[in-house]
Amino acid sequence: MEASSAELLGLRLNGIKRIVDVGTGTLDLTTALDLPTDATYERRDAAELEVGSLGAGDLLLGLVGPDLVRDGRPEFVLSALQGLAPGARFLLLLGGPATDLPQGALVAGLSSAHCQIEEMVPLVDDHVVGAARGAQVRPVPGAGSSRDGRAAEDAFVTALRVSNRTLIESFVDASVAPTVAEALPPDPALRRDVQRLRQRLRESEERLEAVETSTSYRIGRVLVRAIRSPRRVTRIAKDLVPIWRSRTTAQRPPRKQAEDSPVDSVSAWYEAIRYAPERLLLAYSAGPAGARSRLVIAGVLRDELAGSLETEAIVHRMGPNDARLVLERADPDLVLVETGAFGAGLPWAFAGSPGAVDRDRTLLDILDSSRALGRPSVLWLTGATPEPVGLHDLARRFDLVVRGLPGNGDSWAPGVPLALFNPIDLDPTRSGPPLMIGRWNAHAPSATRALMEEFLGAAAAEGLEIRVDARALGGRESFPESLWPSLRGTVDPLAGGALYRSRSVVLADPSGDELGTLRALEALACGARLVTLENPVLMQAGGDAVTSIEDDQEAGPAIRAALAAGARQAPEVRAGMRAIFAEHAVPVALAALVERLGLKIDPLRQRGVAAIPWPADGRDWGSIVDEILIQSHRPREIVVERGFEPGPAEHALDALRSAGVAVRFVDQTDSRARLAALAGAATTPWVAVWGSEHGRGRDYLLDLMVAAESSRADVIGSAVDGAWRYVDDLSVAGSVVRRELLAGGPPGEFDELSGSPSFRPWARRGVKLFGIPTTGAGGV
Amino acid sequence: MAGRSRRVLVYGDVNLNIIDGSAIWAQSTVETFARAGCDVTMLLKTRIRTRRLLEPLERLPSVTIARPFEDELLPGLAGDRLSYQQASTIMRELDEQERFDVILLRGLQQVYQVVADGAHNGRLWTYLTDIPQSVVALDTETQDRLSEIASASRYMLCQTEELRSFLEATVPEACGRSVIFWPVVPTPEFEVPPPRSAAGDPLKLVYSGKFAPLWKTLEMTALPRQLGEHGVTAELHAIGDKVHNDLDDPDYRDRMESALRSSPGVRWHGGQRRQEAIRLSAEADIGLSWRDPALDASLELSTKVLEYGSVGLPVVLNRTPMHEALLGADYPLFVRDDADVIEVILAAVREPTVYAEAAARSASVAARFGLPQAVDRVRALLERAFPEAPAFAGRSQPLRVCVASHDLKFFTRILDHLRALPGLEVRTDRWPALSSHDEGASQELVDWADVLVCEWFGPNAVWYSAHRRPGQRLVARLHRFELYRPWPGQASIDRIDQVICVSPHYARLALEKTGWPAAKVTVIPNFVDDIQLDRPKLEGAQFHLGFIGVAPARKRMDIALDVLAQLRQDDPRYQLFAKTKLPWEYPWIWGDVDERIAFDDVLRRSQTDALLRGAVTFDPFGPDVPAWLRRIGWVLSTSDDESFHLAPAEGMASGAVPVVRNWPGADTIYDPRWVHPDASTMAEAIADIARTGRWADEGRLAQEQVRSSYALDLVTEAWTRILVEDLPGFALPATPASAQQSVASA
Repeated sequence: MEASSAELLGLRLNGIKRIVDVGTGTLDLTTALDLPTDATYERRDAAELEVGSLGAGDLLLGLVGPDLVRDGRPEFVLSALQGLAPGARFLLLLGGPATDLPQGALVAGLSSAHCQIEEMVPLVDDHVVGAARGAQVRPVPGAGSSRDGRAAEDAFVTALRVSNRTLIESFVDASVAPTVAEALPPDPALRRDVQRLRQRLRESEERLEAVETSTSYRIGRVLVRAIRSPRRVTRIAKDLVPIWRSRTTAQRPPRKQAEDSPVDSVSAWYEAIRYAPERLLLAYSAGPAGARSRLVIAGVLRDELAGSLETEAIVHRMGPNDARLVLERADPDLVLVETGAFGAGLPWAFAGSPGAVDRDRTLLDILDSSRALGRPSVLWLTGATPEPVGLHDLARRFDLVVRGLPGNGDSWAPGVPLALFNPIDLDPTRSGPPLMIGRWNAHAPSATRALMEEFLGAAAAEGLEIRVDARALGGRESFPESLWPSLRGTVDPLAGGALYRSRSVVLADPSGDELGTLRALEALACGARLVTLENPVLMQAGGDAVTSIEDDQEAGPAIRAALAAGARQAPEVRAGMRAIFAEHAVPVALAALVERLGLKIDPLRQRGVAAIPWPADGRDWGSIVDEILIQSHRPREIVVERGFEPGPAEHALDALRSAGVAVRFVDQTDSRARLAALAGAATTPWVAVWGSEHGRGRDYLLDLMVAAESSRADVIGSAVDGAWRYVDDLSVAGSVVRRELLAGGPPGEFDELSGSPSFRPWARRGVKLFGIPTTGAGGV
Repeated sequence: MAGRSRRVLVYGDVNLNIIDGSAIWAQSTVETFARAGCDVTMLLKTRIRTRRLLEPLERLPSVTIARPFEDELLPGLAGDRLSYQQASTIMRELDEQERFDVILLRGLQQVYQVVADGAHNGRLWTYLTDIPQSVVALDTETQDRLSEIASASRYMLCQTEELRSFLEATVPEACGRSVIFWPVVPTPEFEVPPPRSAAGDPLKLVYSGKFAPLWKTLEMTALPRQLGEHGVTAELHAIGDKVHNDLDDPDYRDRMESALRSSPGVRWHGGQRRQEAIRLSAEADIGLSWRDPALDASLELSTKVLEYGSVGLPVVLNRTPMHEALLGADYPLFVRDDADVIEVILAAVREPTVYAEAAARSASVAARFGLPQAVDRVRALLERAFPEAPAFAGRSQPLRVCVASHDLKFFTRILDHLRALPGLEVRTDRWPALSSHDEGASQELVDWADVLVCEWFGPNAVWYSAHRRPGQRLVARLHRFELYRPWPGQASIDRIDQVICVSPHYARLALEKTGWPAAKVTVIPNFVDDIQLDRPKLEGAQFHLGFIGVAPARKRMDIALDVLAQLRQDDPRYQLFAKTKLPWEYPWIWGDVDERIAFDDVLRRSQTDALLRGAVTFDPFGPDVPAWLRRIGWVLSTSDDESFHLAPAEGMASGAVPVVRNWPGADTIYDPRWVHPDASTMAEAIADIARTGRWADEGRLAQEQVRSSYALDLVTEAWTRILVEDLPGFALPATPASAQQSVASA
């Protein structure tokens, strides 16, 4: 709506008590303004305005224009905006012509002062062509994600810039000289009236068009027609479908009217890709499938990290060409970028460095897209020493930055994938020379490299075999020549489990970086004794299985002692697995990450167990509850039949509730359906069939779950022969079973095993059974 | 340097009263150009308060110092420093008095002011370090400004390769114009002590530069005490007078000055002339240049590091990719954090071999940045910018040359060269399309020109051959596709002086198809800008195969996939990067169903083949090919046929090894050692070279070959000659040796 300056100020002074004029030019604004008497007016020097000294009820008035003499210096007026606090308003008159406005300075000045233009008003005074009216605004707090203040500030200012720039540019465009057809009468008053009427007409036309093309209007018309003509009710769905389609296929080319090709015909495909070819960059990648019951990650990751995380999460890999498409398809819970993926020999090679600015643009695009989706982004600093120079700025755009090296407040490691690194099929007689899987870090400090060479050299004297990481850039040639005789080819680190299980002693990669520690933990999980340079994480995780030395002189004796001690035996290894499961496994690492991000997802949920006392007749509920409460891996819930609850021993169930164990009930059913019914009422992924045998130790359930995570079996229970291996039969009672299998399985379809039901029929159908030693009071 | 002395104006948004990096840059730049034979005028930004940096320049006879305040170069000049507008005005006036050949400017805002004023466009050599140095920090407005600056610049001078890569990747107009302009280490004007084999006692540490938080200067003042706790007697010699005012830490200045004055073991020498500062450094044992990691993101190189090295000092500095590239990853005095500093100094003190190695490494690096080397580099830039006048330049009138074409993308650098030649006047007849032109304008050019050059043998060659004037010279370049169109037959060869083919193979084909006399056809190959392409490879490039331009389908990217798959069977580190527009970006290609089928197959295979999944990436098309080739170790050429195929030649110029399928004529352009019959032998050749550790050597050989055959200077020289005389006609049979000979002898 066009107005003179006087009308403008009069119309916009609701609630304004004080006008502060910071204009510096020769144009006197007061002659054009019809100031009300109840608002004070003062001239102020912009330099004297203290930051945030104008608040609600105050109006900052200034003039910005291209003529330095008449309009004054725009930078002074814009700097005065810093004097506004949230709630304060501003009115910037704009000196003409509009095409000469310092647009860039206006946008920058307003946005950096957190000022948002609410309206651009064209004016018809001789020198002032318009006004920008608005207020200082406070950012809306972000929801859900944890991000550093700088990133949030940047995003807020950027949003303001976009908004302010759009309004200013539209104003300038609209201010370009009208066509001859829009020539205005010479009389100023008539000119104003004509302009006002034209503006109103334009607004009305725009509103009408918006309404008529809106989906709600069109749907409403369909419904109204149906009301008027009952015969049309049956056509409602048919009438609505084209409306829905028109919203989502605006870009689709016109369909052929001739004969339709079958959907899967080759020629139809080639015709389809003609119009939407970008999808080809992902068209032949299926991506992970399955229910959304686990954390979903979209990642820029090395194979090694992706392979680890895939054991416990759904991982969508993003490449430089398909990243945005993957994000759209995956709708991840979080975006994870690993700087180790920026190395040579990988698709994201040189990202973060000036040698691959295009990669950085793609990463920024990913971050913008994930932010738009409301998904947090995590940068994991790994792999590269020194770091690419561009990482410093890039890192600030992430919601969370974590480092691979432990000991810092911001450290994080992805954990050990027990499905890949575990002591299944461990040969108790294994021996052989000590082994190291790793790489040579040519960028480590000199002192570290010297220590590495001496440490490995001492181990070489004891027969050390080195398998080089197949993806490591340096490869064999990067190792010092003195170690070449120890090199035994390359290996994919994800496939290192079999190698670790074949040796009794493993050396931790001495470069001290996050990869070395991770691989050492993997070796521990595979039953190896570890010799390492000082490493608190390994010592804490491995206990007596880890020998830590402080200098290379100790290496030889330490390795000889470890070899002499022989292979760790199964009970000791499995005991060690408990600590790795509880503190260093992938689900634990993912849980720590989502907690830091404030996500309402629980990666540890897949370890949840419901206890089902079965059979229930004649059971001592007090001892059942006691056994449950002492478990180091406590069940999340217990499911019992009504009629079998303890009655006077209600306090036993109360004790469970107090300890955070939910109690669920099912109606009584016949014995054949009972187990399935109980399992069906559980809400956890696993159910533990809590049989009537006694002597369960505190690690009873923990050992079963360690085995579950390692074996990926469907049923885990006590093996008759006491070994940790896949079996073809297990007793039902005392087993941990996948809930959906037990809940959906045909009732009573068990064989008899030593007089009690067994899972043999299931094994015959392909269900995986895994047996562990009797988990009595002695644990494993 | 050929020809007359070039006049150079140097102006930087710097204050020569303060010894800091930018002031030292200004001083050394003026000196370098003066010693390269130029007459240099240095315009000062500020009123003179100290002559420390000016005195050495005033002693040079070819240097003029323009003092705006003292000499009132603008009426009513007040204050003590020039505004951007004032500086631009003065420069314009100086230029009007006597025209400069080169206007060398530093400072983004100042350069932009000058560019906006439009007075010196085309003669600007712009040096910018005060620009955002990451994609995150680069805003649209700055990017637009840099584009304008680049378009107006003859050269964009980049202090480091990293800065050049970044600039070219973000400002397309900078491609082809960006050159390296290393920092210059002055020649010591005193006797430099002989190289030391060990640190002295007491240990003397030296720091020279500004005193600011991120420069760790406050922490440095504690080093003598901390080293004393380890039994090492140490002194810190601090040189400089610029103490930073930190807005976030108002007390910093006081604390810093207090530490300089009163910390035990610290001697503050204050501000010194540059030579004196270096002399003081030469008396020390170890130079300090370690900084806060926040500064590691800079793409600039500290001159201080080089100055220390020039007097034989080992330097303690941050481990960054740039420093590793200079000093080697195993340089012993890199530090990651403050705790490392004491450790590495103690190592240097206690182990003489560590000290000696670090000192030798540092000195070796510094030697590459001396003044004589800088003068040579400047002379080379000047020779390129101001090529020697050709023999025919002595004519009474300039030789008038008209270049007519619908597409000049393969001719731009040749055109640039012709325009830069003294004695030539060049105009272009830009045909909007292959077959359409403004006949009136073309006729005017016929009437005007001495020489007509038709780039592409299309309807332009037909028209000009029909309309040329007697005594006029007409040459036309035939690439490939024209041979299979009617135009060569429509043109009268008698009215064309010579036809240029880009390869012996196509010269032979042309003769066979057209029946033209052999003397009418000569070979001038496509050029390769060998100097622009010669850049250091990024670490790990030897695992990256490069492919430039995947469309149309006859480029046979499927064969490149075969090569990659075979390599990855044994080594998963190999990757294929294709720098290209995607086929659907060419409507005339994507509209062809056979093209869609072919590329669909490529994408399906790259996503479903276990050996290829995650190993094929398409990089954005753009003019930053030289920067992109830094990541590439092997350039593949797998086409069904090509006239020349620039891609492997560009790869060779970059030091990558070419791997060429034997398309017809390939062995007449490239050494047969690079040419292979099929994908399997291509992959075997790559694996064999890699396995035997010969990649770098083969890359150097390839580079030498392309320089001797297709270097820009060679090709432009041939083009210059053909304007006035016939080159030797094409002789059968063709071998690479004879092809090279035909260019070299042309």
